[in-house]
Amino acid sequence: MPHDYTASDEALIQSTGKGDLNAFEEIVRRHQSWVWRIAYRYIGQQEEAADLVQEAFIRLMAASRRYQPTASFRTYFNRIVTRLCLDHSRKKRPITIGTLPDVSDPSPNATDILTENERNRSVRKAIDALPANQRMAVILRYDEELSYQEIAVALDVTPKAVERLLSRARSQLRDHLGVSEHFSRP
Amino acid sequence: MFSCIRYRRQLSAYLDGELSARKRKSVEIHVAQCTACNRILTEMHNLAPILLSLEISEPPSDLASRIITAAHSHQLRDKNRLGVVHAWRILTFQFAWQFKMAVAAALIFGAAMGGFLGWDMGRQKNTIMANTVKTSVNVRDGKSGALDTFGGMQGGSIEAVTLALFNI
Repeated sequence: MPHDYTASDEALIQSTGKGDLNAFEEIVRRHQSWVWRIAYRYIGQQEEAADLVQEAFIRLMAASRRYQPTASFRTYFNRIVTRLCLDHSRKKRPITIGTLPDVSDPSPNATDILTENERNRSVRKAIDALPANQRMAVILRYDEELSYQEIAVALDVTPKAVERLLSRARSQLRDHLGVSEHFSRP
Repeated sequence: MFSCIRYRRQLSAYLDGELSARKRKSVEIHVAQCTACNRILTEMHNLAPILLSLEISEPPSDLASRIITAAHSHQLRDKNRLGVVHAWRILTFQFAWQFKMAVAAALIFGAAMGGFLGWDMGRQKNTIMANTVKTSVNVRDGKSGALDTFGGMQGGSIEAVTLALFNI
């Protein structure tokens, strides 16, 4: 089947459902980055996040035969990714602070670099301390800028529930980060 | 204080632009007058740059190829499984009436064979019983005194007639 780079995501996923792996490759190319972003933000470990991303795409492929364009592709796939992240939490893996990338700072000031790494660790720790649903709501809101309705579809809850999740998450993050020496109160 | 509790529940939605125009206006008026709620709102607002400052590691360079390789394997497994399902469907649905006729014929043949075997076995059993009885009667007539199953019978009795019937 000739490869159509201009086809919509919905058309590509339907082609995938008919066995077109070229269409699937295009989907991977288009959507790998945001799926990786969510997975890494949520898990904080590179290899585990990579495994989750791979599983998300395989599940998408397996579900492509049944895909109906009643919802946008992004919403549909978002839900798959979210489900996998929440299932990952339910496996009760020990929460560890992920391997943080070294901050490349042109400044020769080692203290600044150390402070930046410590700040990253504090933020990572604060995010990891959130309950699974709150953590995912925060990631979808801040990183993906999804609306309450879109987050509600991904988490399979109501928009009101999303509001409560974000409210509680922000309260906990304020408490956790607000008292840290790395983040000063205004 | 009660109103603060009510407004604080809405601060998150206010920050995200998810309130109706009327509620948004109401929150803005309250926050302008309440130092505590104003502080909370500011802290919530300041979370965004902090959270987004967390760097994201680059994905493994071979992630895309791993996904495609896994997809190929998955598709191959799927094809093999579907091949078996397809063959079964051809057998049972596309040749439905032939399949049903074959099953019915097998059932009828099986029943017929079973019936015949049962009848034949019964006939053989009766013959064995008759021979046993005859032997018993002959023994009795031979006055050998051997045991016979139908001991005490007399000629011309119902039992003798029955024995005669067995004597095919």
